[in-house]
Amino acid sequence: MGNVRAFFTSSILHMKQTFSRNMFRFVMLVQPLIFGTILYLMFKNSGVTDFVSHMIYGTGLITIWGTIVYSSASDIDRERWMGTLPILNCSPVKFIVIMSGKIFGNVLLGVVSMIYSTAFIVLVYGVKFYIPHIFHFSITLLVTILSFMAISMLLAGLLTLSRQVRIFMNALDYPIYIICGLVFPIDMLPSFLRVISYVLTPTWAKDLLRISSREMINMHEFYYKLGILTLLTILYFITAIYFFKLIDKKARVNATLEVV
Amino acid sequence: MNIVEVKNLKRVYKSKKGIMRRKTIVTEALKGINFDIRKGEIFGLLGPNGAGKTTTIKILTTLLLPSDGEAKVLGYNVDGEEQKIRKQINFIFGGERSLYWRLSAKDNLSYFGDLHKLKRNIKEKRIDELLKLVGLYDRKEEKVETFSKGMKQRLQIARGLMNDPDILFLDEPTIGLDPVAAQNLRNIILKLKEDGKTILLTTHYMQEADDLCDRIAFINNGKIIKIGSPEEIKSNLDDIKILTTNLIEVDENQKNQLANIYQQAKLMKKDRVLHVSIETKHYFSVLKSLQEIFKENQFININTRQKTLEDAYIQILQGDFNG
Repeated sequence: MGNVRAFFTSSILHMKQTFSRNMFRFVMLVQPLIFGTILYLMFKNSGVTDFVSHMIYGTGLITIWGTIVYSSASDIDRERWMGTLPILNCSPVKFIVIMSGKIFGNVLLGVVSMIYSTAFIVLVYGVKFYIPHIFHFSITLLVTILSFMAISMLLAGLLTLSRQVRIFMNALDYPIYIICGLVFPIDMLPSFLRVISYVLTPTWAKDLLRISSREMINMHEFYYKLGILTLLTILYFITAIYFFKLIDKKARVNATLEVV
Repeated sequence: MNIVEVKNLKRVYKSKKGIMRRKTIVTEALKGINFDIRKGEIFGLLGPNGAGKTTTIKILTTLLLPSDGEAKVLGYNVDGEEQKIRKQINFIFGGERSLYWRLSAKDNLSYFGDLHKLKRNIKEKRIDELLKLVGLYDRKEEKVETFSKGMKQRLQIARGLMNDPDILFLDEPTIGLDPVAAQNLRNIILKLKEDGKTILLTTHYMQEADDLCDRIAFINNGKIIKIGSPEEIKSNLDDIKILTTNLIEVDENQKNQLANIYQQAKLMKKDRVLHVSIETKHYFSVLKSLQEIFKENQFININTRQKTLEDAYIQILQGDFNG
């Protein structure tokens, strides 16, 4: 019970902290409007039949990815600079529970921003959008949230363990938009890049969200892709848990919990 | 009853240097230290920067693993039984960090209470009690970023007490505070001792250590060089007193004459006044000499004082201690 409460209070605290940062407010409130407009102008006369779902899910997932790149991934580092990392690390609640709570809060903010960007596109550009299969959409959304949590934890762990990775983090937004097909279908990418697309969960999440928004769902395709997304998410979680165990051990050996 | 036991504790830090041929640099922060802390006492760990104080605290608070030796807190080993220790201890590092500045004082304490799995009713009650103890109850809804340094330090004390710890580790808690804020914090520390808490304190302020600590360990270069109560440490010094005086209109000849007789004398001239400080066992004879040399000059004042803990600290660290 204590762990569950710590998980949710970590989420709430993190949302309060995050939303008070100007950078993050921009990512949540202004960036979706910019991406929504760009994608609308790109797709308007493109001849793509289901351009609305491309536009809405593209913008939404770009927004969630933005929250990960600009917040979740560097959360551990931020706690270190605030001097709170030693306290979190030495509390009776396990460190991974605290950090996953914070990441959950972040992804929730991303989902709220996704809803906000959808409302903007529908109201400002007058596009028609509705979800015909609520059940399939809900399952997809749930797995998508979990998959984004998993990838955030993975990146947070990786960034904490490796300073080299931290250098590349800020360059990680646009490549993901392209490689995961958030802006245009991955069929347009060269085949060697598509290999990377297939191991990244946002690729499958966007595909599934689009499938679940069609009038006619190909159930075989839906469950096949849902299976792959779930499997990748589990693999991400397992790797993240391993990273966090490594962090706990390495931090105590190498004295890396604080800024010197 | 010993609540902390440290035996032959060693800690090395390894770092890499260079770009192409990276060399590993090994720094020995602790070279096999031994000490224990009794239940209910305030134990001071004093030493210069880089002596090993903070490393010792970090090992005892389970933030760092020892490289060798043994450290037990409340009977549990810091390497392997850290989860049992973490429930019953807390720590406060000096400075303004270790709080969420964009949240209120109450939100901060509430969150840290949740991290210690406190029940809601106990948590709420404790938040109010602690905010009253540190004098921040009326400001509990305000964001920490609006607080002064002293208020942040006091809030840290409250944070450190949220889990009602048996042992509190304080690493330079009064660093950078103004005298009134520092005194308030010292009063809180004494109140905690009255309530039965065991406290390990590091500080650079010797008077603070003298006022607060039941026992003190001097640490230098990763080794403990002296342990005892402040009184024991001071009484082990030579029977030396310090004589100080201020004189007016002293010329260079007189100054040189004094310096020749008392080579250990510290002389400092500012404007028309010469400040003289002499450590001596025979201050009556020193006084007589001063009167002879400066018979034409005006003495503003003459004082003698016993050696303080600070004098002992300097003497011991300089390797002059014979006790």
